[in-house]
Amino acid sequence: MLQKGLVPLGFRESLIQVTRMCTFLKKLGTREVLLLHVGSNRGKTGRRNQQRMDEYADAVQQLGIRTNIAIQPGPIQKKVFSAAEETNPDYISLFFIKKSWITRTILGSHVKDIIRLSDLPVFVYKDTKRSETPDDTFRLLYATSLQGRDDAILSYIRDADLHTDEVLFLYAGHRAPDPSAEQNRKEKAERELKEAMKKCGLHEHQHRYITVIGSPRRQIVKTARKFPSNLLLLGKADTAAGREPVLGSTAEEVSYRSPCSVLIIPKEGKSIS
Amino acid sequence: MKKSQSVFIISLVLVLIFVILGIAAPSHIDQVSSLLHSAIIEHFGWAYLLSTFGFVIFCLYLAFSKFGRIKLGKESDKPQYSYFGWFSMLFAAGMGIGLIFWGVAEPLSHFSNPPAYIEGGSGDAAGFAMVHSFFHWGIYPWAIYIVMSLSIAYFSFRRGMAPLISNTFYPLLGERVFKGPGLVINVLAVFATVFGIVTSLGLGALQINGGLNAVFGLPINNTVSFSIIAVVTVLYMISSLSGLDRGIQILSKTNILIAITLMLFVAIAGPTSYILNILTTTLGEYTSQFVTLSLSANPFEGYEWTKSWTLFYWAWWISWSPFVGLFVAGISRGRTIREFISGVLIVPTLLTFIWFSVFGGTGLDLQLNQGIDLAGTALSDVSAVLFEMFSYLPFENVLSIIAILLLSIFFITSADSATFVLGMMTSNGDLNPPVLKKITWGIIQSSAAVVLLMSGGLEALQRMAIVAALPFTLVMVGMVFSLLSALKYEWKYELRGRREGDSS
Repeated sequence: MLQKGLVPLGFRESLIQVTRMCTFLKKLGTREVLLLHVGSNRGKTGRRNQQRMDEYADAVQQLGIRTNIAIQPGPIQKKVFSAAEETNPDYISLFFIKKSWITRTILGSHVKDIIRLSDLPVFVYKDTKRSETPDDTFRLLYATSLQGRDDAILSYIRDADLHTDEVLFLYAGHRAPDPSAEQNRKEKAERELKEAMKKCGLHEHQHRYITVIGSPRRQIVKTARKFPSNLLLLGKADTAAGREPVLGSTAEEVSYRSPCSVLIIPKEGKSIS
Repeated sequence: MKKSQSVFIISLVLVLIFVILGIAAPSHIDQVSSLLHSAIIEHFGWAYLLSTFGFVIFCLYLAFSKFGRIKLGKESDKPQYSYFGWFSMLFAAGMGIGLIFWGVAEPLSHFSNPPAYIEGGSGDAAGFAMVHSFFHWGIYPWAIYIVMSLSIAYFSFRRGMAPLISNTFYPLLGERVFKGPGLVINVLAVFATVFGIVTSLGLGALQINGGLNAVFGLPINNTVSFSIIAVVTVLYMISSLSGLDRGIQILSKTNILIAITLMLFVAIAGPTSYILNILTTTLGEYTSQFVTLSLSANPFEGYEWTKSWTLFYWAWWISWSPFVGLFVAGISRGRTIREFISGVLIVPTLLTFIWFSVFGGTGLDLQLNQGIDLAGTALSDVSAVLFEMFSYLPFENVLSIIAILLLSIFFITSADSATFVLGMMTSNGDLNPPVLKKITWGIIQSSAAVVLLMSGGLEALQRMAIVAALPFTLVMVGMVFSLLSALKYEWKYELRGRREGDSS
């Protein structure tokens, strides 16, 4: 499902970091990537950019991933999406570089913009210890909203190329207004989580679930910190209600604050089910 | 200690300790309460202004939003009381007694003692006086009461929880509302209610005494005041024990009819056109200046005035809100949120505006056009100014007797509903609180008023009620978020599912 990736690079990533990211992508089942740099492709700068991209491509190819490169001048988001249209990748992979609050406020964030605008799954790579592919277990944290979107997203977990050792299902939701409704809410959530776990096709010892109370955007990040995972998987709604137009969607916020790498599946994400 | 008794016992012990301190060391209590009171008003004035403005916006948002359609009760519930009964009880519990006295006294006080940037006794001062009387008694107190009562009504009648202030925090605190944090909130609510009602009883007795002095020449002394409290206590205990449905409803309806009759008489016998001009002009000024008035802390000039009046009122309304909120919630079952907010916000406010225009307008007419110094009386003795104004109208004695009757009935209804609310709050939200508890609270509030009147600790207790308003402001802000969270949940997960089920 995640065989072909589009990887925009801004050259703030070192060669080692890009290699680590692509090693992780391989673990997700990626066999082919298009490395894209949005910048000048002419003159001296163009030659330097080309040279740098060749270095990246060589390093990635050594991992056994088929690699193409492209350098295009223009606005970043526009070029990323036009490249996606031309090459038809399965997902976009972004290297996460933390920006200060003030920089984000004034200059914005390409990561957030691409998550918001993309119809493709977006993978946000966090170059932290948890994101390095460990030898022992690959733990996936799936944050579900239990709003009937599990089937599309579970297909990514069931994907034979994604070698998951353990899946933790997480449901974060607001408390119901009274004890009786709260009891019903909990029971319903547990029932639906168990159904979702059955559908993911893993052995019983490979999955468990947890329910937490509170704002999903806060609780998902909190849980990801409490239960260190290699990958956080979540869906993206296409509605912008409440405070989302101001603060951004839960997916944007969580992808920014999560301690581990994040894979965001949009509402119309590709499904193999 | 049984859970249902813990709030009762803890609050009873704490109230008794305070009353004993008020008797034994009134000067100490006076000093401490003055210190706390002035520190709070001095440093947290902005917080009162911002939070109360937020409450008004919250009320308007709920009334106009999709949540307005949600009923305060099960879908099949119908309103228990007719509109007339409902409005009468709202008015009686909310502010009836205050309006009788301040209807004339407040505009005249502002007129002669406005902030430094307005010349006292001028035309500008008269306009300022009327606009600020509307401001202090208009939308704001009711918005404060709505936040409290709407939350209680929603969580009790719609969600099936006991009508306790602590239970309105379930979406935020979960099971902790049944433990320590919930207990603290409920004890604080009992505190604010007892302090408020004891001061009202004590000061109200003094005011009735002033009225009886003006009409019948009865001396103003403790014996007469104590007798008034004794008579009122017997009457409100009878009313309280007869149940909410019968006692308060009958008294409130009677009172509102008498109040409207008195108001119409004064409007016709007084300067009718002048009153109508004042009403129209002040309504326009109040509407156009609403936001400016709402957020005017006046830090450069006139802050002292704002502290003494606006901030005092805001703190006072907030300290009264647990009592009025619980009472108003209790009589509003079966109404939709939109109906509830528009009813509570519009009808009592309009009646208040008309009341102030009639009584304040008549007072200002005597002051400005007929050269009678009512403002001087308002400054020296608030309780006498209404009766002095009646002396310039036909049937002055009848009017004064009606006013005393009104005061007494409003007095009884307030004390009656306070007894009911205290009984309910200390019986784990039982809508039929045990008689013994109602009697206990009734006796405590009256005897506390008597002893504090004797020892001079009443004003200290009033200040303590205002001090209690600060934590209560935080409680109310939390309530706003809690209610909003609950309504969003209901709309998203319960009502939407039901609507989708219906449409399929």
